[in-house]
Amino acid sequence: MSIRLHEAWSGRFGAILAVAGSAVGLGNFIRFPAQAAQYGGGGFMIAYFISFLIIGIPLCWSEWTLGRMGSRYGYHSSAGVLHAILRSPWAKYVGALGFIVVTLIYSYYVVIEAWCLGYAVNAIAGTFHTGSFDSEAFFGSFAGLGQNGASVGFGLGDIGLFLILAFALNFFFIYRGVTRGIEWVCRYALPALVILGLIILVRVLTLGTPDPAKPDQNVLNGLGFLWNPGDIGTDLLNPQLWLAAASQVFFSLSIGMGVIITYASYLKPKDDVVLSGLTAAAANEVCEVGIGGLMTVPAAYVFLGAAGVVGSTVGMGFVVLPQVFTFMAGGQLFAILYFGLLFLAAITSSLSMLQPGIALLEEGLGLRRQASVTVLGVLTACGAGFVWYFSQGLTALATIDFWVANVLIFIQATLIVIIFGWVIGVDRGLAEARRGARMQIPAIWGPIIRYVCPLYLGAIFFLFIINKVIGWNFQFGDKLEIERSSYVTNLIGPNANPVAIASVALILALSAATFVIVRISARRWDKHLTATKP
Amino acid sequence: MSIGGWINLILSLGFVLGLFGWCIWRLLYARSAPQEEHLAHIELVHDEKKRAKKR
Repeated sequence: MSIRLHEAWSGRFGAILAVAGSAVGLGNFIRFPAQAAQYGGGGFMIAYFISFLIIGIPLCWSEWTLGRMGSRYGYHSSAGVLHAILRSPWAKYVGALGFIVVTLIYSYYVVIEAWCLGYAVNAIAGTFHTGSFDSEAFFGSFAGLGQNGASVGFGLGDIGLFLILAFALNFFFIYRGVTRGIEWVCRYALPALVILGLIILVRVLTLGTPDPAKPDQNVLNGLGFLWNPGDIGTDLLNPQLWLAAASQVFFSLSIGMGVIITYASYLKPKDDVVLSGLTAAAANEVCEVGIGGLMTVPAAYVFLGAAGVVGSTVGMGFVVLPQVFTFMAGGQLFAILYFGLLFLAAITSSLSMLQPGIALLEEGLGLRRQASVTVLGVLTACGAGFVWYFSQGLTALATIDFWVANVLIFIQATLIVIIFGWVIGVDRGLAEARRGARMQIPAIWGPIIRYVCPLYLGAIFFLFIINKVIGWNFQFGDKLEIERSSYVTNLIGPNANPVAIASVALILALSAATFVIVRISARRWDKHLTATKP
Repeated sequence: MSIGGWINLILSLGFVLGLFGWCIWRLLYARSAPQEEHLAHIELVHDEKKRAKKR
């Protein structure tokens, strides 16, 4: 019986590019600027960088180290890696979250990826530059917001063709394997998206004052809208700001998903994890703060003013910006570049969501590549099909996003850092991280990983639950309000939404099936672990 | 944009660009830190402590 798959990154830059590619996604160019603008630049950036140092870096190093430890035993899935390292009956179930989270996120992320591809093709076709173009109506029709099943179509203004194309591209590359698939895509896509981002950035920063009748709507004021500090002292007392900043660091760095554990498991035993982890995180930050933070909000501000910038993350990317490109000189070209950039960012991230599943199916059930790709393809096609069909108000997408990409990720990240800091032990964990390291881990990170990070994660998760689930607005006295979030009222009570309930049922069904797969896999792994030594 | 905005922008951008530049410089020019002997020493100290506890 062979569990070892003999796949590995081609060189030291392979893993860094792949992890950076996984991290650099839609959140860098849409979510980050929207959040920073909403919470007032200064206070948000302080909370953001504190979260980066206290949660981001420790979790990156923990996941990179756990992954490389797993490679010594020949395992690549989170479940296999944790089972092999810890040899505890519960470890494989913690690792199972790594499969559940990414598979469910992929099921809606690929739909958003299809939006990006569809918008890029529509930009090429000149759809945004027709006289009667209404970005809100176009997005509503394209994504099928009006009613369930409305987006099921295969024309230029429908999502179907682009979803199939995005899905097929993902599975083509994942079938080619770690080096010829994921690494190959990241090697070209990551530099390409940085170049595209810089071209658009130069265009945005040279927009000046496009409408002389509105002198206030200029680039400098657009930058100020995002970066002016506001009342930092008051802002930092707002728990929602800390929640938003910590969540952004999570989504942005792809931590707490199990992706990094899987990617790092394709390293060689003495490959560096400390500097590689930090480099991948830093590359993500450059794209997020250096490109995303300077590009999106100022572009929207100079054409639409402050009122145009306010809105949801999805609204910013797919309603506000297409409208901006209709006003911009050379807007068609820049719309093509922008949505091309978003598509490249999305595909490098979505590929990373498939590899943990492939790894689990191959090493857990002994499937060959073709079979594992087919099984995962069918599974994710069901999920994506569900999100695609139940498009009304994006309820299915938002429900899965909330319970998986918010709640489950926090739980998984907290468990990973507790495993690294307490179960394995921070001394042993950091000693393992230092093997082959090209830089020292400063001593301060020992207590941060052991004490500060779990406490900080726990506090943020507590705030998240009381704000987003229970509905407390963090005010006292007369201002105190408790309004149940729609994520809860959609599930329980008179206004329960059948699509939201079905979405949660989908999460539970996949979770149950994964726990069964992991239980079966553990028998196979136990035989392998007793027969071989690392 | 206010002076505070410029400070915020320059510090944030400076931090991420500086960190990334430093990482690339280390990747290209730094050698692996020779720490394995040091690690072995740490593990032995732990073993000694465990033995002492058992006694």
